[in-house]
Amino acid sequence: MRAVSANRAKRRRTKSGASVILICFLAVGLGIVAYFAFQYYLLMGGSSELRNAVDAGAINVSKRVFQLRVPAKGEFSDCADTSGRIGLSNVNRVWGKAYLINANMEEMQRDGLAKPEAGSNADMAYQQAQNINDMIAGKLKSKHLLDKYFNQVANSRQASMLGADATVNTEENGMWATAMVDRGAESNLKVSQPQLPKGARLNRVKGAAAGYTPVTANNKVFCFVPFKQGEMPHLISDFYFDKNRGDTNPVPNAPNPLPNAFKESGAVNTTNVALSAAASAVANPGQTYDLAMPHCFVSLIFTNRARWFVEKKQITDTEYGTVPEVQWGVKRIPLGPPCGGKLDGYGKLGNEYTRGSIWAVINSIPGDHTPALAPMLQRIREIDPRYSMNKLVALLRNAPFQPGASRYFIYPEYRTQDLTDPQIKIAPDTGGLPPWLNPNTLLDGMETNVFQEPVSVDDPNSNFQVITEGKYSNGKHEARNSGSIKWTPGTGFGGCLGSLRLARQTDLYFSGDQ
Amino acid sequence: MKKKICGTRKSKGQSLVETMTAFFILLPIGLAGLDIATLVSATQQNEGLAETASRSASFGVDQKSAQLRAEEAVEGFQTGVIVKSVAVDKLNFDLGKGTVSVTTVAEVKLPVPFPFFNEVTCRATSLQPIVSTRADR
Repeated sequence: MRAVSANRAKRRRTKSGASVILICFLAVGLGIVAYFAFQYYLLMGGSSELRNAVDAGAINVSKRVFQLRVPAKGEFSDCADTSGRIGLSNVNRVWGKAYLINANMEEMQRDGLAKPEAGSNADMAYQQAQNINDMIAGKLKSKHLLDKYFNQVANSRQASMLGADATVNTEENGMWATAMVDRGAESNLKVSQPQLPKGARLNRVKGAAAGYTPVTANNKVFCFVPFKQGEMPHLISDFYFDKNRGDTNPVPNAPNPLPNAFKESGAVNTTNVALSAAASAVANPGQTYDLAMPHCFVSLIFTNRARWFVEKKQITDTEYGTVPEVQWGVKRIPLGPPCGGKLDGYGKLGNEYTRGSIWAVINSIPGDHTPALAPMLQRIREIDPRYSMNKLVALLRNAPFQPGASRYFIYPEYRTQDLTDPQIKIAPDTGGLPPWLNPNTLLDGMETNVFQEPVSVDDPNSNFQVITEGKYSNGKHEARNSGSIKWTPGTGFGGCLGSLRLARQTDLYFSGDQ
Repeated sequence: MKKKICGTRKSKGQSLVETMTAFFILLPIGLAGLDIATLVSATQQNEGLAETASRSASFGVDQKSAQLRAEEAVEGFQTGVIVKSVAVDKLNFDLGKGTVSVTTVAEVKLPVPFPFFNEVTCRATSLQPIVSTRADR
């Protein structure tokens, strides 16, 4: 009986409800899996938010980096922006001007026309440009300065999936570096070959100086920063950035070249998680400039000399001005046989300056004077690269010759404050010149002949004579008008790029010959 | 001898009950999980879209061109059964701060509709620096 009861009791313990327990365990397990899956999603999502915030911060750095500027001083104050400062966007103007000064020096040296001060002027220009470059480099390579641009945007983007208090900030000891990317690509400095002095060669890409491609002039190295045309600041791959880092792959021979790419890293630090990410971006100012020397000028000088000959023997020489005058250059000069007696002679001088325009004055002695303007035109192109011989001739043709003025300045006028739109003008040295133009700037080059005018007899100047106490009252006489055009080059340091001198000479011959 | 079985219960139908109980617990959890996974995916897609739209808008030069660019970026998004529609909800082009923020909105239809919870509107905002502005001259 007892055994039967035990068996019955055993049968009473059924398997019902066992699966419910299993289901409960499964439900709990599923819940745990779901919880971890959700946490994983938050982590991945937060990581993505962090990466996007760092990307935006890096782009903001590459965009704002152009705000880091230094005051423009000395020789390069004319290369500054509208607030008188120089930064990464316009530093190529500084290097361009320094390059032109040194290329001019090299040309003058090759031609044997460089005074000793030309060399020291070119050295000073280079040193000043290097100083400006180094000051800008100090700012661009300052993590502290660039971090504020990073945080401007990154802080505004929260990584809310990582926590309510999760904001993105720069890492104190995180990855931060600068690089020189797009080596060999175009810079933002447009260059045209005709504006370069003889013998100068600047590597050009798409009409602009090539960036991070050092070029030498006067034994000095010049390096421009590339900014691809038509591009805006944008992200680049870390691989491309690291390949062009300034510390591991420097630009050869270039002294302290400025970087154009920046790597920033940001991090999120909360009680639950610490994550970091890095991004690299390349800067681009979206502005282009012409290679130019904005506050420079050339001068045009007229000098006149008269030589007095009696019976082919030079008696004296005098100077005359740019206003017609009569000079009695020979008085009571005894004549030899057969005429004998005494000769008084005078010359009507300065008549070449009554032609109206400066161009007419230049052409008062027949001949094509255009080739003589070539060295002056090249230097004017260093101010305005688009200037042409036609424009120069038109300028001289439309400029009235002012009686009494013997020196003229060809200089640029600007409407924009950053001096990028030169309008070439000409004016005499009698006043009204721009305040930056110092008419007493000394040229650091030596004069050379560039054009010899043919002889023109009795035109525009002539002579007359009176013979007294002689066999005849008059004799053969003539005025031989000619001249030479001389060019004195300048490096441009101090402002003067050169001077063209029209040295007129009138040889007055007197005699008793019949 | 008459066998008297006292206290035994019929086991017929027990498995069915247990199965039904399982369904009532596990099935809603599973379906809710599907909805959550769909929502998560849609949210991520919307955030990515906001990022793309804001990056595109950052190349604009003014509010109008930035809006056009953002809308063009959004138009390229392939909607479907789950993400029914996407649009640019708000765009703030602030030249003073130098940033543009774009908010995109996505209408998500959950695969497993629950009472009062079968469609969800997801919003995502992204902020980018405006890169079209040139450096000062």
